[in-house]
Amino acid sequence: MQMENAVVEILLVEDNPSDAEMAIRALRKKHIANHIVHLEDGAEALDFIFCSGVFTGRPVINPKVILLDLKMPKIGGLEVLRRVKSDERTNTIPVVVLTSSAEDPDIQTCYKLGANSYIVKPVGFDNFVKAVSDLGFYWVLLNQGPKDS
Amino acid sequence: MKDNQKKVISVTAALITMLIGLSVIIGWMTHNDFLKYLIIIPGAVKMKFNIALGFLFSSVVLLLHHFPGKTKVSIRISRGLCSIIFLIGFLTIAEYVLGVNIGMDELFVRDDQSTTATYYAGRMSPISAINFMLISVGLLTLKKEKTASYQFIYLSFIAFISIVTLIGINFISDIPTAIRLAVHVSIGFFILSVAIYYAQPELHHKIRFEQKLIAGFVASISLLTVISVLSIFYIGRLTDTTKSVEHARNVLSEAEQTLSFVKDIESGGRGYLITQDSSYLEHFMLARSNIHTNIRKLKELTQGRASLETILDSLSVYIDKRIAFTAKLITTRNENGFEAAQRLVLTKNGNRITDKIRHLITSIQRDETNLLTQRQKENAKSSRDFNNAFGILLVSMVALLTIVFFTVWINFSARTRAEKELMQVNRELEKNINQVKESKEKFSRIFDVNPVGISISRLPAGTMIDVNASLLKMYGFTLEEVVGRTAVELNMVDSDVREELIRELMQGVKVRDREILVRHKSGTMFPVLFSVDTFSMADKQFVITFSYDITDRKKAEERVIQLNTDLEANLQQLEMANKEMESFTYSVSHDLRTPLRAIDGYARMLDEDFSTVLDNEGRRLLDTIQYNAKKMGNLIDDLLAFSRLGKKGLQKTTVNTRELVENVLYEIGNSLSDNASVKIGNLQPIEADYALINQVFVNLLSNAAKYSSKKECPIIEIESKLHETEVIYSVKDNGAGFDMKYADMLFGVFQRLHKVNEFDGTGVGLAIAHRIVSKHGGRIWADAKPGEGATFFFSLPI
Repeated sequence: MQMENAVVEILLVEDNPSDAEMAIRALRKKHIANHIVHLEDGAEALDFIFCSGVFTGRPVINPKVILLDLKMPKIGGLEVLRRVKSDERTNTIPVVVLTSSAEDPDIQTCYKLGANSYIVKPVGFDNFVKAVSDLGFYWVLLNQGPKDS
Repeated sequence: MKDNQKKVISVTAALITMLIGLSVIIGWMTHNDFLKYLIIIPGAVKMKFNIALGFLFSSVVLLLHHFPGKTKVSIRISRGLCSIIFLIGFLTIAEYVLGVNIGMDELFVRDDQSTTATYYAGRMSPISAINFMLISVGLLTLKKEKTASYQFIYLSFIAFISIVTLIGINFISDIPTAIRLAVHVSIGFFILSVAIYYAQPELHHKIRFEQKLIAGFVASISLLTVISVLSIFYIGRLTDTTKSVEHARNVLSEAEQTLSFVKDIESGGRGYLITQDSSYLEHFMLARSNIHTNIRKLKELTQGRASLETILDSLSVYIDKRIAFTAKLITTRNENGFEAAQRLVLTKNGNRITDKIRHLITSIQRDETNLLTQRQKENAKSSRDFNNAFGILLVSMVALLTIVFFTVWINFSARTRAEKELMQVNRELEKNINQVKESKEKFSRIFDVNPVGISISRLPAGTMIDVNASLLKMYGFTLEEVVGRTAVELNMVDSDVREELIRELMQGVKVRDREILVRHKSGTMFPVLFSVDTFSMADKQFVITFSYDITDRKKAEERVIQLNTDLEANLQQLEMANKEMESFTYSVSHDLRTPLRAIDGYARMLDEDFSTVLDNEGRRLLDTIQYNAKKMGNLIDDLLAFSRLGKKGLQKTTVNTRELVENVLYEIGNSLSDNASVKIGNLQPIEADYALINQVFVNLLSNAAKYSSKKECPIIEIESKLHETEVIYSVKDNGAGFDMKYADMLFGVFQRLHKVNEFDGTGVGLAIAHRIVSKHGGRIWADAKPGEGATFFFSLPI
């Protein structure tokens, strides 16, 4: 993990280490992100985003995109999403929901809470790598964020 | 004639009467004969002052009746005047009957000009007196219903008598004093009777036909009485005049006889003188002895006539002288001889006496003849008068009887007509009654056999007057216990419930099928559907109630409610199970896929990073791992799709099936072999959920493509047939087919008829198709032969 002052380009919040590793491997392989922060539950993610808890004193610089898993211990992805999107300081951060579930209520809820994208993780590894690298490419390289971030 | 017109006539008539009365009164006061007689007719009499007074009072009473002003005062004045009128009539009659004069006739004025025909100066005729008595009674009983009919009778009598007396005055010159009325008196009475009759038009309908008839008979009887009185009077007079004629004739004959006796005396004497034959003396002797009897007779016959008495006295004297002379002559003949007698004759003394006698008798005869002529004239006049009066009265009688006859006849024919009509009406009535009976029977049957309990009660008390058998059975009472009591008294319903219902009824709320609790005689409460309505009959208010026992229905309802509750509980359990299932599938989709992805991913990473280390066998094993992981992923996806079908509702639109099939074929195009031929037949459009039907065709067509892929020339045919209630679609291939004994297993989940290494697949596709078709209300089935191909059919309702 890189905790320097450098800009965090992607914040990956994923409790499953295999998924996280595959995602990071895919992004690295495509040279999309230099600075990826991987956190394993919602509580850590919120501490990181709002510079609290173990992340107190972290420079207040928002990541370029948050890749957020929904089903996590302690604080779920939906709660993280709600808190991020209801706070003025963080509501401009693009949030991409990554999940195994294609269930309707989750998709609906996520968009209502302000998610910018909703991706169902494909079972096949090829598809998974393609999906992750595509979204990384889009949000980090193509997408123009707010000027102040 | 309208009542108002009648009243106008009455008032006018009263005013005319008043005018007559007033003018006559003024006439008496001012000694003006014109006003007293008013109508100058030769032989007419004047109106007496009392009659004029009676007319005036009567008219005042009538006018007060029409214009009462202060009612009490008017009534008092009217009664006073009526009493006076009655007294005038009554006292006059009393005077006549008792033959006295109490001085009331000339109480106000002296009647010094009274005609000789009137017995008493200033006294009115008894007819007028009776008329006034009747009129006073009539005026006193104005507007009295009970006496209206009698009043009609005597008013008719007065009017009739007035007409008769008027005719009598005009046509019969020598009328008896008793029924002799002045012209204006007759007219006055007639007008007065009309005035009284029309003063009370309200009572005219009370006068029945019988009373009119009685009035007619009263008039007839009075007419007959008048005829009888006149007859007696005229016959008496006729007898009198006839007698006096006879009398005169007797006088004449006696006078003649006397003359003849005188002649006998003279000729007897003369004969004896010449012949001295004693037979001559016999004549003389007979005459001498009888002549005085004659004279006496004459005297008797002419008694009371002074002139004749003197004549008869001198006649008697001369007759005596003549007898004496003849006697002397006879004596002289006998004693002194013929010459001496002759000398005596020659003195002519005898002749002179005879002449004197002749003269006297002639004068009697002349006198009597004159009298006879006069009496004969009188007699003729009497018979003429009698004939006149009789004729007029008979004509009146005939006219009256004709009127009566026609009245009776008209009434009789009217009655006959009315009777006929009545009979007709009766027949219709009978018919109506029968109809009413019939409908009553119908209604009482409806009432009696109605399963709804019905009661009819009086308002406001609520006492029941009739109830039907159902009600009695429902509440457990007998009819005797119920009739005349109220439902509250019998504790059938609580008073507060009844009051509430009554209050609503009064407010106009319609109480229909209200569910209320009522009480059986045994005290158990039971529910009824209660309807109530009010109606009125013969000005009385009634209330009709309908109770329908719904105990059974309520029990059934309770059962239904219990069942519903149970069902709801079951449903809740089911829903809970469903939710659990959902969260289960969620977990499956989420949690089962993650490790699969890891298996696949790490196998790939191993392959990528350590491919140089692995030999072929190692790579084959890695491939197998990856293949199975992917297959497991597909199974999970299909399973989720299958389970998701249950939750979605149908969103029906008109589906263009042909277009849909073409799209599907395009989508699955790469799974079709190049030499495959696809035939699309006639495809009916259908009302269905596009996405789901799309899924069915995707599954069926990809199956067809898959199982025919090993043939050299795969053929796929798609078509539809329109039936009455459904459209049947079919997808036919010439592929592997299957044994029909396994057909039942085709549409089960994860059921496969082929080995995986023959044809790939999860075994969910047909299960999904089955589920979708079922959801649309259709059926799905297949027909196949191993090695020759299979046809899948599915139907969708129109």
